Amino acid sequence: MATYAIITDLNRCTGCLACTVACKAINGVEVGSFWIKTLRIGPNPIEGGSGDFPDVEMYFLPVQCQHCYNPECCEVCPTEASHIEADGTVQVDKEKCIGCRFCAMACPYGVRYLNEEERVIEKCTLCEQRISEGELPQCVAQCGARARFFGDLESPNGYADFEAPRHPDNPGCQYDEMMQTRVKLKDYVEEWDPDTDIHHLTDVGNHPKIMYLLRQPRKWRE
Amino acid sequence: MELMELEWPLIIFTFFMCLAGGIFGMQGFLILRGKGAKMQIPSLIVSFIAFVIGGIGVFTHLQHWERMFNGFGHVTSPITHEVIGVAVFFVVMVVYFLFMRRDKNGVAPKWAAVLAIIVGVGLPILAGRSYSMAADPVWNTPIMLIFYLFDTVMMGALVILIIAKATKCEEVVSDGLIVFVIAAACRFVVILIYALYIWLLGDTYSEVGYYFDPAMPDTPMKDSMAYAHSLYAGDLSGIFYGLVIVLGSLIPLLIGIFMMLRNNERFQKMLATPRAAITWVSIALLCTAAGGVLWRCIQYWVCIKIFPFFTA
Repeated sequence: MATYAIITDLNRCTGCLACTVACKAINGVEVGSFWIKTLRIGPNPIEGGSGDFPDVEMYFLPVQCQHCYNPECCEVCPTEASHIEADGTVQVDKEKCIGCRFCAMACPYGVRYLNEEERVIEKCTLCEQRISEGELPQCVAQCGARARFFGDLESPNGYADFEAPRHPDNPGCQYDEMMQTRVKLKDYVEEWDPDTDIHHLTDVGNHPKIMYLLRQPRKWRE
Repeated sequence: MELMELEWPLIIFTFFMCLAGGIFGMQGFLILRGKGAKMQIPSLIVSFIAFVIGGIGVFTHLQHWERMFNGFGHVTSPITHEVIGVAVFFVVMVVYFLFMRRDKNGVAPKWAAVLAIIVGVGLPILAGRSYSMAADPVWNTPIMLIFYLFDTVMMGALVILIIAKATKCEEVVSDGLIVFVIAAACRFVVILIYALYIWLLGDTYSEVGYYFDPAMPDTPMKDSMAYAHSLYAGDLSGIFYGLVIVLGSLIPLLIGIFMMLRNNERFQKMLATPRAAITWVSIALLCTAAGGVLWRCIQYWVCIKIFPFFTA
């Protein structure tokens, strides 16, 4: 059917936290819990540099459920509440969840948590309620630096065809108009080398789908 | 160093499954050796009580136990495997009891004793296997299963010794003591190896250098090396050396060794009367239990994700 994912251009991400805030607002994520966080990685010394400023570098890293190809959270779930949807996203059926928290233990990234009120597991849904209607996930739609792009990995050009909201010809247009238009990753961001610049979070056999674009010579750290 | 929150229901579950399995398995072992016939009923009762306590304990871990039958049974889930293991353990216990009652001498058949040993050590290992997840390197090792194995045998042997003394079944004491001392020595070594394994995990975790989480501005960076080195030379070394190694491992081991030296006048008093023997074995059991529970706690405390930066 589809294999939905997100790619974030880390050379563009400014760490504004708009994705985090937008996610909490639209999904009602309780205070103290997060479906997506933006970590600042660095400043770390540049290889071959003096070890001090200005020979340092850093980037911002939005971290969420990685909607893995081979998610161990689904494997360990005793009721199949955690499952892979036909669109490739990993979802939690709250009606089936017994709150055993084994999925949270099995997640390599710690992005699952127990909703204390409903006593079930929650995490990023990739805004299933929006993408099923053809909308973009809210973290993509509200990205302040236009660094996040969403799409189907099975599309002809793969992640290069991922989209973000922007009027292709009129960047100064109003918000409503902008949200009705899309640009593709390949047409919008600087060129990249697919062999060296595309990264994933640490993979322990779960094969994360969420991708990060960080161009050489910036060093991806994991 | 932010310690992972303890999951007491799971700690209680694994502890009591080891206890129940150890008692039942040891009873099976004694029957195979042609001993301990008259202590079978007390052993089964104590094992069953431990089994029930563990079962109730794990139930309290579930936030929505009433949904257990709402699709429960996903075959790849280790929880499903545990439930199957619990059911098999219970069935074997019932079969053992029925065939023991049917026998004219009141002794369970050898094959039932073998089954008791298999499920006795199998269930705790199955419970330990549930934690084998690549996301959590501290848990993702067969050393954990070996720890559970020797913890099971150690506790089972001690309870069997108490039951033997209480029922005046002296014929099993030497077997019980030997099994206990071997298991205690092995568990001690396994804990040392496990702690070394945790130490060596330092480079396994994702490492990004300096980082900052604006959602938790007052939370320090997670230092995976501090977790890895916390047992032998870190924040948890006091608990590790004092409570797990000395109190929980060496003291019970020494009590067992002293009790084996019954020909030595100095230690004769330890086994002179049932009360004295039960007292010493009880002390060993309490220390063993404390060491076992604390080691389980440590397994949580030092457990961090392979990518440890999202959580506190």
